[in-house]
Amino acid sequence: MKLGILIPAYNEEKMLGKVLKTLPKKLPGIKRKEIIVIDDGSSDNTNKIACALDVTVICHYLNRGLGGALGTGFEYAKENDFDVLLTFDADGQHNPADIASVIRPIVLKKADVVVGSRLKNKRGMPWYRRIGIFGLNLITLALFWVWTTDSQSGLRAFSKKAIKEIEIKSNRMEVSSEFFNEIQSHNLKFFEVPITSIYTRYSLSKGQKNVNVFRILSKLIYRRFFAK
Amino acid sequence: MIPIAPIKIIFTIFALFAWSRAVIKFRAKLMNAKEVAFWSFLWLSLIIAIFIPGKTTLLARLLGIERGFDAMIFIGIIGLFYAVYRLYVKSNEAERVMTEIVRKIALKHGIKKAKKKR
Repeated sequence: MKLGILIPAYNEEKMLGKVLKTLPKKLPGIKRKEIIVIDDGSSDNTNKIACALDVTVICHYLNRGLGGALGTGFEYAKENDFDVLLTFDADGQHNPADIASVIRPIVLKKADVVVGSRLKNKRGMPWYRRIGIFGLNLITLALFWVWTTDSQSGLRAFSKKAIKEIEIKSNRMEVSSEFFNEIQSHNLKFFEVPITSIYTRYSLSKGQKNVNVFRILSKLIYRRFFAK
Repeated sequence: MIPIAPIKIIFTIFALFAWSRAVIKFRAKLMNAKEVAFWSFLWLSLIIAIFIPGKTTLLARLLGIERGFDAMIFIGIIGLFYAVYRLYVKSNEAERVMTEIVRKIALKHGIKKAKKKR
């Protein structure tokens, strides 16, 4: 199977090099692997760091946000015939050891979309973040009729069918919930696996903020009812 | 001679200024004839409504509201809500188009491929 590891990065010079170097060399069921960094219009050395390593780098000339970067990654995956696509955050919050368990249900053809849930193993997650994620889980359920324990997780895997069917329209953080709209509307088989997160001051400063909930809600309502 | 209330003068100046902006944009070909006709109709009818007493009361009665002034506020708020909604839709659409352009350029000219096949 051919795996694409998609890493959206915006001004991630501090962590990107370390994240790329710690990715596993071999994974069960995977014959070929390509690491794809989407440099989302970074103004720091993110692009230089990624280009110095043996990875594919796709450069956005303007910052379009997480959704914009993931959408570009999906387009690239569609054009390059990947069997599995994994999304992985560039801020160092994911544990590379979790990749194998997140892609396993796809490799075994048991699921189309797998989300690595940080809330199945809550250790280390600040309480205020748990509340924010729970609120967004409820919003995701109300709008898209899919219950998940972690709608905002950045560690997800997609099958070939999911790569082909999913069409990302969001530009920013709301994309994490938008995936559940796609799961529901394309009837994709969805699975969750527990993952552990590495919480540092840096990764917490980069992640989703509770104050964004209202902005995300308005964008999701627009996406659900008004977007073409 | 009946004195003109200052608010009427201020509103008229503002309406004439807004109308002049529409005409300038039309002359600069940034607005089409239909759009300039719409804005001209809107601003001129608002000026007329302000200077002809009793007209808004008729409108208020039609809407089932007591006073003409209340009817104007009511219609104004609905109009503003609609304008905000239209702006929101337009800005989302513009964002979507911008992302598509950035994506197309990135996939055509902004790829540096990994060297080794893993």
